Amino acid sequence: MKDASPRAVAIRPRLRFLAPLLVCIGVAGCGAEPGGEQMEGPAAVETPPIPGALLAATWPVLMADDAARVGFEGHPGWTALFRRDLGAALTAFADDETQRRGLARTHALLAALHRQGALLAANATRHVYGTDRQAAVDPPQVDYVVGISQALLGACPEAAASLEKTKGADVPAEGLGYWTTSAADAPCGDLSLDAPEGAFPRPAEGPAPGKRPTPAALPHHRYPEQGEEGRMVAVTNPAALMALAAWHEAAARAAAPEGDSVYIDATLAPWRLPGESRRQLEAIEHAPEWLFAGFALASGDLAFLAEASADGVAAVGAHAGTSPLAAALQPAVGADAIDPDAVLDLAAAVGRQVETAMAAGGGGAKDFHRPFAEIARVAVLRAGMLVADGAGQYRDAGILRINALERSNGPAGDPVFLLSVAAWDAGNRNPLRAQELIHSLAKSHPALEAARTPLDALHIRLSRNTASGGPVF
Amino acid sequence: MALNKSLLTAGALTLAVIGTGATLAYNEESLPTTMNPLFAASMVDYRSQELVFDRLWFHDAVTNELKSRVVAKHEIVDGGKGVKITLVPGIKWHNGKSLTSKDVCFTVDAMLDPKTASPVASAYREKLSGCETSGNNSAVIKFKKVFHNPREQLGFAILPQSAFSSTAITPELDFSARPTGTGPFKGSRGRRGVIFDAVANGHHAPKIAQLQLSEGGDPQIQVKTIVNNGVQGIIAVPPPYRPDLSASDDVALKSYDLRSWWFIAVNTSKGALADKRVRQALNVLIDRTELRQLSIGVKPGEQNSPCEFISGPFVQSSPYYNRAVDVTETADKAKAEALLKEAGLDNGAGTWAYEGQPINLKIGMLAPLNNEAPDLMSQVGNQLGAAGFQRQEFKISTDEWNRKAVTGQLEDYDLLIGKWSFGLDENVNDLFHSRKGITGRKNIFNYSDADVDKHLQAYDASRTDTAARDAYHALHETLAEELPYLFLWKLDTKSAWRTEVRGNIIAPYYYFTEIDAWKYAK
Repeated sequence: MKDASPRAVAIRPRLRFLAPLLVCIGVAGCGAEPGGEQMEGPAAVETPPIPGALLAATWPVLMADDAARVGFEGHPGWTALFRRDLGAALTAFADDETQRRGLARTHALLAALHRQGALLAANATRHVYGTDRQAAVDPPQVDYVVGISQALLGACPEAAASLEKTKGADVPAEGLGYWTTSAADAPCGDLSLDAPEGAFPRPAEGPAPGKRPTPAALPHHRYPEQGEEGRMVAVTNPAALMALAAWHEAAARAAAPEGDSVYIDATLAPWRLPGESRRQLEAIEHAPEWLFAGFALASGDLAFLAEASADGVAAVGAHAGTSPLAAALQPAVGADAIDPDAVLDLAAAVGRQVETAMAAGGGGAKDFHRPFAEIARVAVLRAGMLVADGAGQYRDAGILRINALERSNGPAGDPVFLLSVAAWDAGNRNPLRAQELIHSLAKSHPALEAARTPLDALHIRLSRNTASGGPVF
Repeated sequence: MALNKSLLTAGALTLAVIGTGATLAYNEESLPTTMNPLFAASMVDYRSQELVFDRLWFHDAVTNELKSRVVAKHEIVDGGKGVKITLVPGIKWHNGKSLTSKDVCFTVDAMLDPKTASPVASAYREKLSGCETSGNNSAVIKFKKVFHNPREQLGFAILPQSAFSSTAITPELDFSARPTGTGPFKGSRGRRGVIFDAVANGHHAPKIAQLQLSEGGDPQIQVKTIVNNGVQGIIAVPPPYRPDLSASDDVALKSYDLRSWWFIAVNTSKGALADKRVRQALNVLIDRTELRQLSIGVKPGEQNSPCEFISGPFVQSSPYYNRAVDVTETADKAKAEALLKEAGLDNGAGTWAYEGQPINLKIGMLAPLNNEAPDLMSQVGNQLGAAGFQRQEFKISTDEWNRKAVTGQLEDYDLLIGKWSFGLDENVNDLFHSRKGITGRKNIFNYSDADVDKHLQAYDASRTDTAARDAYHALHETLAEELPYLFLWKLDTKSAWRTEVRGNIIAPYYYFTEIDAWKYAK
């Protein structure tokens, strides 16, 4: 599934005509050819990607109205959430009983974050002790964490086989039993905090809204290498990060007002691991606290994003009438593929469209319009990426992922997305960018340190098996 | 007109220039020292060579998949000690000749030839044992031992046999300025820049007709020039200029995944600097927080800074970085004074003296670094001056740095400010091992320490990940104590490209690997 699908290639000629959303109608504005050659042609007028009614329902446009921001502006929880400081948001919301939705949303985002940490750890583990295994050296017990990784990644038969190899070895018996049972049937990556104590490393305390759990001590396991030296190898159990995700999800549900479970499900849906069960979403009403500063621009986007990575281009058509993001992506979509170049154009156009609409609705341009519009732009890129993933366009999705990453700065710098890029990189056996991302994120979220262990091992292993001319200036 | 000139130039070839007619100009940190891949010494060299040559295998810049544009099929032979390759048919060199298996084996033979004095070749020499052709299209590349994934060892650029008279290749040849490759562009270096003209080939279809590389110079002017569309790209944008470009609708900042760290190399053979306590004093006299603020624009306490202090020869995100060794962020003048006095230095007249003579530090810096960290050398000099050291400051050209600093021939200097860049492989043995034969090839002041050598040898000899990591953690700890370098920071690299430049995915380290997909979209 790594290459752009033949479908994607086939669709490109047709989509070329969709790419010119910019129609030149004047002389000025089309710019000059680098190198000094003047291009004659008309100026650009943009076809708005999002229909007016859908645009009006997006949170950036709604929040252009000063009255709509009352309750958000100046509140330390929402300010922190806007800055993507989830730790500070948690503390601030915990201190304000009127902000249960803010608290629930922050826990849901932390649940998503730790899921991506688990995904990163699972991807790195399956490579370092699977694809790149050093059979003569690696401790045989590592099959235990390889099996758990495979279960989280939805590879149930492979998980069962890996776990089977560790029977009789020095691995946690309750964990082996739990994951062997899970691996017997798909989906095999669901994890419940009701599981027996030894099933996976977990926080000592139960879920509590407004708190951060104490992660299980590192390393989760230590096994001796084979061979003369027999150095001890620190091994991370990816399920420990899933346990933290489950902890935050439970805290989110405990904090959320009645009826808000659907928002938690929708928030988590794009970030669930391949091995987890999918949840059917109920109808989603507009709720500003679940949308503000988020990458779903309207409630219709929550449902769309929840389905995009599984259903691919079909989700675009199914939601284009209710989801601003789906509507925006529609010109980039063919019968069964999405054109990444067109998505890049559309994202830029949506950014401009949102900013213009905010100025129109908010009495002129204001400083906060640009960051809100930038979030909308990144939201289109991320939505396009999910659709490409769902359509099997692995490389195209990667291009959109990298473009979204490039623009994920300031308020658009969502830690969940950043960590998901690191997890994707680890899945591609590309540890360098992943290490930079997790190094940065672990400063605010120390529990993510657990994911560094297999990633670091992967880096060392790959770097020692590559040719290089050494350092250069 | 430059474009027409390029078309005429390429028209003289048997191959046709292709592309959309667009010419892209971009600013580099410096001019390349060479375009011969065997003698790449700087990142500019690697980036330039990526445009001209094909590497046998490379990693996809998006998916990291191991790919080849020149190998149609391959198989592992000789029980894992060889890879048999079959070339993609129809590939031409820029001189119109066909790429054959003889060229591949010539490249291997050239790297194995001890008369080819190339650090790049030296790394391959440790792994490859030979190459045998089988007809024009097939060859078997042989290894000294079995590798887990042998294709990962075959990332070298292929050279044309017809361009050389023997396998003993030297850097001075005309090939270094006007190389012949099979890559998407034919490069020609002039005094003030390099022109890369697109070349049609079966395995490359660049959409840009010409790339023009120029030396960057003053960053403020570079930024104004790109905003005014005078150039379309800047490879390395200094941090202070990033916010303005980031806010521009016409320019996009692009991350460039490269591990770079900055240092001040200390001449441990010279005068008072031979005393470890003096080096330790200098280390705590350098106020890195102030330096970073003044030269890179990072405010104290700023979150997610592009510039992060280091205490050893690795970036903090690296598994080799020993987190138990603290960084020195601010100056500790009292500690410095105590160390200097303990080492027998005297500052009776307000200037530190050694054996009765005032210490006059000769400080040098690789000149292009002044664009990335403006006035860094002056600020270092100011801090040392304020602490009671006389000093002289010199900017060192890229060429001199390459010929003399890297080769350990600038021993009249006391301190040299530089930067090293790495890809996936963070091997630092060349920097710190005693210079002897093929070891310590980039040891700037010919530093030598038995403990350091022991750690480096332990790394080389390690058979497991844990042993390798432990060896480098121990090295980090020792170097932080011995201080042949005062370690400064890692600084991430961001490029800027006009938004009209599309499809411009930047490959880690090599940068232009996906240049075929770049286009200029109006």
